[in-house]
Amino acid sequence: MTSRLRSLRDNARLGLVATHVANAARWARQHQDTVRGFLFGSRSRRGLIVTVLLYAVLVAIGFVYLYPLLFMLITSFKSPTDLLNPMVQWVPTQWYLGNYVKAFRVLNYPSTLLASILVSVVPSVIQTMVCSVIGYGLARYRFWGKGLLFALILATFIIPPQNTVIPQMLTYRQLGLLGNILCLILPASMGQGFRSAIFILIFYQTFLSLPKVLEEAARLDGASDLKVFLKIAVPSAIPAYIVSFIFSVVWYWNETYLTVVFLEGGIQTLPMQLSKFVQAYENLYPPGMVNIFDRINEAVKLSGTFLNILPLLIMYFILQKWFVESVERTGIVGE
Amino acid sequence: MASVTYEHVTKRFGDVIAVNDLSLEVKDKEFLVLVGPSGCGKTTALRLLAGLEEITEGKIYIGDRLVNDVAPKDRDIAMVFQSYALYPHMTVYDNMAFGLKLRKMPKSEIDRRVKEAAAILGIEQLLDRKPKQLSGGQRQRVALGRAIVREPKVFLMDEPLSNLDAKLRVQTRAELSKLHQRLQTTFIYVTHDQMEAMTMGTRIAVLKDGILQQLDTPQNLYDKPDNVFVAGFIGSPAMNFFDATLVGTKEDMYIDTGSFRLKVPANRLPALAPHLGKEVVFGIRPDNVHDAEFTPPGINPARVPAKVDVTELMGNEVFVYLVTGKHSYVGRVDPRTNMRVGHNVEVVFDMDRIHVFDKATERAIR
Repeated sequence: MTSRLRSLRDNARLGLVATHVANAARWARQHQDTVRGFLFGSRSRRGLIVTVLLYAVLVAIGFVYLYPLLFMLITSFKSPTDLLNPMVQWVPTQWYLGNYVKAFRVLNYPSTLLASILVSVVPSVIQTMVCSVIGYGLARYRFWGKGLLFALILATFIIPPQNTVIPQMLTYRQLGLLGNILCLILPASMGQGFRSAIFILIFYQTFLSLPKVLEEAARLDGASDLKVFLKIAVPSAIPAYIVSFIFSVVWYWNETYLTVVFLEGGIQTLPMQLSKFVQAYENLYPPGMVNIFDRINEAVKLSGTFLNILPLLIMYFILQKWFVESVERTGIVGE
Repeated sequence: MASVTYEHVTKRFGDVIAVNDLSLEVKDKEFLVLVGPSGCGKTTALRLLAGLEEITEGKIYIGDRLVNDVAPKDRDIAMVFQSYALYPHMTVYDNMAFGLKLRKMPKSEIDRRVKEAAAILGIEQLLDRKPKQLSGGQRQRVALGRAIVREPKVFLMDEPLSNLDAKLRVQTRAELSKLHQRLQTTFIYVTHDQMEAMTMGTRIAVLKDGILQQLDTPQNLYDKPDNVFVAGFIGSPAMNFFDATLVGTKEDMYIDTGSFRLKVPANRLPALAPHLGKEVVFGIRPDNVHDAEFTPPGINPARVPAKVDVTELMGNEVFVYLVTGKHSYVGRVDPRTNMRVGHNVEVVFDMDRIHVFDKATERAIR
C-alpha cells in the first residue's frame, strides 16, 4: 500500500517536474529570443553590440576631429607653470585667464574683430544677393551667350586666385583702392567675390528646381519680373540664401592671402593680426623686458587662435540647426 | 465676362507644331472644354490665351481686344493650374490676396473679396494655413479661390481635377458647374478626361495633334462625331469600329464587315450611295448593341450572332465583350441578361444609330 502510495507520489512529483521543465524550457526559449534580440537586434532595431560598436567608431571619429579644438581650448587655459609641468596633460591645475588677457591685447581684439566682421559680413551680404540674381537670370531667362557666360563662371572657379591676384592688385592700386574695403565689395557686387561661382551654381540649381508654374501664376496675378523674383523666387530659396551667406562669411573671415594683399596697410582683420601674432606680442611684451612667465608660449598663441575662431563658432552654434537643414534642403525645393 | 476668339492660331516649338491653325470662338459666359489625348496641344492653346507662351502665327482676341502682345497680367484672366501652383511660403489668405495686393486694391476691398470667395468655396477656416498643411481637395479650392477673387473676364483651368481622387473629382466636377452658373463668367477648361468634358462643358472642342477635330455640344459630339477620332475618343467604353465594304445596289445596300452583313437603313442610302463598293469604317457604340432577349422598343434592329468572351457586371448594366468571326467588340446590355462566357448568343444592333466613316479621310459620311 505504502509502496503504491510512494509510486503515486513519485509519479505526481515527476509530472510536476516535467511541467516545471517544460515551463522553464518555454521561458528560456522566450527569454533567449529576448536576449538575442537585445544583443544582436532585430529587423526593426539595432542590437546592443552593434550599437556599442557603432558609437565607439563614431566617438573615435569625433575625437579625431575634435582633438585639435579640445587641445587648443584646454592649452589656452593653462598657466605657464602648468605648461612646464609634465604631470599636467589635459586638465589644468587652475583655469588661467591670463593668456586670453594677453592675446586680447596683442590682437587688439575690439578693433580687429569689428574690422573682421565688416570685411566678412558686408561683402558676404552683397555676394549672396548678387549671386542669387545671377543664378536666377541663368536659370530662368534664355539669352544669347548664356553658354559662354557659364563657361566663364566655371573658369573663375577653376583658375586659382593666385593667378589673378597680381593684375587685380595692380588695378586696385591704380584706382587707389588698396587697403580699402571696396577691394572686396566691388568684385562681390559684380559676381566676382571669393568663390562666387559656387554660390551662382547653388542659386542656379535652386531656382531651376523651383516650379516654373509658381512664377507663371504670379505673372497672371499681376507681378512684374522683379516682383516675381522678390515675392516668389526669393522666399522659396531661403535655404540657399542661408547656406550661401554662412559659407560666404566663413570664407571671407578665414581668407588671409587675398585680404593681406588687398587690405594691408589699411584695414587689420583678426586673421591678419593673428598671422603677425608673435611679432605683435614681442612688441607689446619685449622678451628682454618681461619675466619668463610673460614670454610668448603655446598657451598664449592658442588663446589668440581661439579668439580668432570664436565669433565663427558662436555664429555656427546659433545657426546650426538652420544651417544643417538648409544644407540638406538646398536644391530640393518643392511644393 | 467676355468672349474669346482664336483666329488661325499656330504655335511651334522648334520643328514641333503644338497648335495648328486653331480657329474657334468661345462665347461670353460659355463653359468651353478643350479635350484631347496627351500632347494634343490643348494646354498650349490655353497657355497661349493666358500669355504664358508667345503665338507663332494668328490672333487671339479677348472680347474685342487683340491680346497677342498684351502681358499676361493685363489680359484680365485668371488661371487654375493642374498643380494648383499655390505660393508655398504664403498663407491661404495671402495666396488669394496676392493678385489684388499687386493691383494696389484697398485692404478692405481685398478682405471682402477673399472672405466672400472663401465662403463660396467653404474654406473660411483654412485662411491662416500654409498650402502644405492642406489636403489635395483643399488646395484645389484655394487655387479656385485665388482665381475667383480677381473677378476676371475669363477663367482658365488646366486639368484642375486630375490630382484629386475619384470620388472628390466627381464631387468637385458638380461644384465647378455650379460655380460657373453662379459667377456667370466665361470658363475655358482643359482636360484629357472625356467624362469631365461631357458632364461640364456647354460646348466641347476636341483636339488631336494640335488640330481642332470638332467643336460642338456634348450631345452632338456623342451622337454625330465628325470623324473616327472624335467617335472613338468621346464615350466610354469607346465606340466599336469595323473595317467594312459597302456592297449591293444603291437601293439595297449592305455593310459587309467580313464577319457579318448589315442592311443599310433607307434614310442613310442617299449619303452612302457615292461610297458603294468602297471601303468604309463602320462604327457602333456599345450602348447600341443590345441583348436580343432584352431589346428596347423603338429601335431599328439588326441581328448579329456572337460568342461571349468576357462579361463585366457594373450593377446597373453589363459590359459584354463579344466575338463575331474575326471581330471583337463591346456591348452594354440590360443587367438581366442571361449571357454567360462561352455562350453563343444573338445581339441586336440599333441601325438608326450606326456611324459610317470614309476609310481614307476618316470623316463621317452623313
